[in-house]
Amino acid sequence: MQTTLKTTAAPIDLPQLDLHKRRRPHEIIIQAFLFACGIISIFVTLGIVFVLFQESLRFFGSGEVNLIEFLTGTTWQPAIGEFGILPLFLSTIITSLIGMLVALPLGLAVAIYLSEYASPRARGILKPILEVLAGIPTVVYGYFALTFMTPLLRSLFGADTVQIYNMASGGIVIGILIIPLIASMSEDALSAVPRSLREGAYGLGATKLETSLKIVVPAALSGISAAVIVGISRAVGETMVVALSVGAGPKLTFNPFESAETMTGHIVRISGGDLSYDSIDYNSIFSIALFLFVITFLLNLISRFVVQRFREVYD
Amino acid sequence: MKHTSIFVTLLMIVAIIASACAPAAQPTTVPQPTQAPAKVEPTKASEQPTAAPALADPTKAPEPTAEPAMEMLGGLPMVDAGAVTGDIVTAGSSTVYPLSEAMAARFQDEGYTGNITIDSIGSGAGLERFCKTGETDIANASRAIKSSEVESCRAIDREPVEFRVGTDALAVVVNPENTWLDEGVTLEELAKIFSADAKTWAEVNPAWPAEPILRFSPGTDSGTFDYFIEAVMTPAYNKDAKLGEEALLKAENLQLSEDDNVLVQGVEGDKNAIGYFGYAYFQENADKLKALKINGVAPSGSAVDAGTYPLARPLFIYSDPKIMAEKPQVADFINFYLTFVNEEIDAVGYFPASTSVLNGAKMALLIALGQ
Amino acid sequence: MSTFELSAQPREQTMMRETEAVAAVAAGAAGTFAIEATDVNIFYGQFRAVKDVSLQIQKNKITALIGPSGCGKSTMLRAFNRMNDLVSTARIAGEVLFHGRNLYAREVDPVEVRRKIGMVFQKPNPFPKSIYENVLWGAKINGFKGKADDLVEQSLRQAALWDEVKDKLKQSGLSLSGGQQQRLCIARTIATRPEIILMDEPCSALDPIATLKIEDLMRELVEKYTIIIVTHNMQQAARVSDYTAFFNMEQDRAGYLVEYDDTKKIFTNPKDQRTEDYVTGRFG
Ligand SMILES: Nc1ncnc2c1ncn2[C@@H]1O[C@H](COP(=O)(O)OP(=O)(O)OP(=O)(O)O)[C@@H](O)[C@H]1O
Ligand SMILES: [Mg+2]
Repeated sequence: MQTTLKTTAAPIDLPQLDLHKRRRPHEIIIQAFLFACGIISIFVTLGIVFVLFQESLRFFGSGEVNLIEFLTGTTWQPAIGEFGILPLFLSTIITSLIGMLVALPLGLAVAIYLSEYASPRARGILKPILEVLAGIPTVVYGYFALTFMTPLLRSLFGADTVQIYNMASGGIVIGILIIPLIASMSEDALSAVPRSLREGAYGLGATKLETSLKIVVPAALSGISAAVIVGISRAVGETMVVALSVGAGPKLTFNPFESAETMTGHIVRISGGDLSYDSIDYNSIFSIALFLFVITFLLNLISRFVVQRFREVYD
Repeated sequence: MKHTSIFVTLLMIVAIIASACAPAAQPTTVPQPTQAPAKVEPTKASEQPTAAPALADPTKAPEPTAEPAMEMLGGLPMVDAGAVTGDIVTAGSSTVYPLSEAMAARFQDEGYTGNITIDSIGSGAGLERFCKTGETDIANASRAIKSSEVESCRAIDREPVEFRVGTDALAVVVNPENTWLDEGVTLEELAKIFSADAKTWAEVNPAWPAEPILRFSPGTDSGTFDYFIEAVMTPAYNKDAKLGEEALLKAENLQLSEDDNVLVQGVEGDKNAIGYFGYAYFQENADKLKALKINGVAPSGSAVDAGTYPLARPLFIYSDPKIMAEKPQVADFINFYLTFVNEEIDAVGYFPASTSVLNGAKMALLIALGQ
Repeated sequence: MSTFELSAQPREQTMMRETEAVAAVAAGAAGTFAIEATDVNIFYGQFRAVKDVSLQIQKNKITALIGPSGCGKSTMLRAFNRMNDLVSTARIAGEVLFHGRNLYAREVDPVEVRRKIGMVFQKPNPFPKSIYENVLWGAKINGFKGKADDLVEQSLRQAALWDEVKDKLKQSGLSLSGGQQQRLCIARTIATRPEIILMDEPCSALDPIATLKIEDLMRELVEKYTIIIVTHNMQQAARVSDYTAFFNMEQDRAGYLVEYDDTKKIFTNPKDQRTEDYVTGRFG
């Protein structure tokens, strides 16, 4: 009996190892809170998509227009039942393209300068300036386009060539507007390129320029492409600048010096004006919004794809 | 701390008054603070005196405010603006907007402490907000209300009452560098210029340049647009408004904007541009633009008075007797509006309605208030 | 340590004179030096990382720099091709003679220096490009005009990598193993036809077999090139190098040269007690 007592006593004396699950209420609360935040943003997005689809369905269900007409029609004039999105779409493409032609080289140049060349002091001055640029309300950019860029273009190319409202001016200013975005995203990508790569290049007798352009930029290509695509999304979605400077009438034209109207510009003009809530005109702007949404959504998908693909190659 | 105590006091006053004379305070008497003074926040109240003078006509010396005594003036009871409280919500025509704004500024100058909002969204939308959603107390319109709109109004138990406040002449404007229209245009030419039937000036008249016509028009739901269709396009298209509107909207190089400044800038910026909008906007920009003679008559006060200028139209505000009864501040504002509109209208750039028309409006108000 | 402190000054002085004597003898035998540092001091800001180092490197020999961590070996090595220029706070005093010219003279272009004096780093750092381009890149920016295919093959052969990669030249350099990557880095350095190759712990990220491969490679390369290698691996220094320089530092953490001699001597019969302690693992 004594021996058995001893053996049973022994494990009791040992400090017990407790592997039971323990409750940690604050962890659960915080987790729930974070989860809720995530869910809310998902629901908001879903809500937006739902509204877009619902109103667009109403639009296409009205019988006044079908999808083919919508996608291929060359006139957009809701008041007379013309709902061809091409003029709006083309103008969006042209202004965004011009914007990217401005923003990409300049933004990348700024990024390369900041990450490869700038002394800490120069960086300390330039970065806040970029942030300020990024923080300026887009209305201001809009008036800048109208009162500075357009007159400039007209003095360069002649007032007969450049209309007072034109896509070029808006596009260029959109470009200026997204320079900070492209610059800061690209700079992040460039700075993320390991120092060892640069040293490797220098060790082979590369100059700073060769190192920057031929080694660092290609190595950061995935990040830079992502920046470009985000920039395009931004350009496509930019509203105030085009609303103020590009024009107020949809027009199917490739001439950047003519006035036209982008998708966003049209939406803001129509919704800012007077429109009855249950008219087809009103629903039509949702169909444009849906179209925009699809475009930016696709761009996002592409950017994810690009980032993933290049990552495979470079790591 | 101070603010909260003021707020609480105000709330108590409201509560007492509301319980004392809740049902329908007689609107014709000097208005009493019936409701909503709580909304007038102390900060806002202190802002207004500084903001308002900027809006008021600077050419006029600030005249001594009328004594708060009740006085009959032009058949209407005298309004003591300082005693009027409560908010007023208006929306509608961008043409009427500057006039209403001038009147509101003067109303506030003379002591009104409530908030008055004036949204410039176009006659159609203004009447919709008034008749369909019932969001507003007053609708501004640069055309007479349509029967369909009257019906919508009745559907929400509102009976629109019309007050004529002035006359607007539509100015057809071109760039100062335009020389080929110095002699003006006829209504027929104007219709063709603004239609899809002509791409270039030369297609309207071979003597004019073979340059594209750049058209600037107010947006499709603005009263100005409707009026232009009615007065210019429709007669040229077999009196078919639909055809006329279509002809204009299908035209190339057409810019439609609710924002008249967009139009002014557009015409100012291009030699080949033509546009139209309310005469007030032309007057503000007379140095940058040229107004065309229509059928040989230039827009001017005398031409409008004489009825010779073809593109003149009435300006209205609309309200409803029930609203005026429930919100005496609305009645007071309209009263004030009709009483002083002719002192302000010149500065705003429109033409005063004739005395008889204005008296008719005042009668309408009296009748509405008497209900 | 305390004995060092007490006797540091006089012993260092004697050591210096002896080192110079050895180097001078060696130089006399081999002709001129490949590169020669005289009274070099290197600072990072206010901090002195290298103190009064004079070192003559023999042509077509492997010279190993050894010493405790942080004593300034890498700093010294990078001084030979002006890589320290890339550190904004770095400053150098003294001379580094190459072909009789001071590399730090005002008119000398660091880019040109690095074209003649290549560098292989501790961690393999191939460019995110194909193997082929990795080899060719440095040569191209140096104005190489000949047949690219031949240069690539030749360099990869010299780097003992050709057989392993000849069928996948288009693949990314990053797809190779660590040892292969390091040989690729050596190949791309060779392709620029330098005179001197600097190697900073080139094998520290590699397994023993890959390390041996690189060591064999170094022995082959030394026929054509002068190699300076920093290593923490005593056996490696003993195995591979012809000369060894032992660096040390005191409490001010400024590295100085303790002893520089034939590798055999350093490892079997060092003159300085500190060297002996270090190479036999009794240090610190
Ligand atoms: N970029 C730099 N900025 C400031 N100080 C530096 C920098 N690089 C090195 N140092 C300092 O200089 C001294 C020498 O560094 P170095 O890298 O040359 O040592 P090391 O002998 O190569 O060491 P290890 O064997 O660990 O590589 C160290 O004290 C280090 O902290
Ligand atoms: Mg080191």
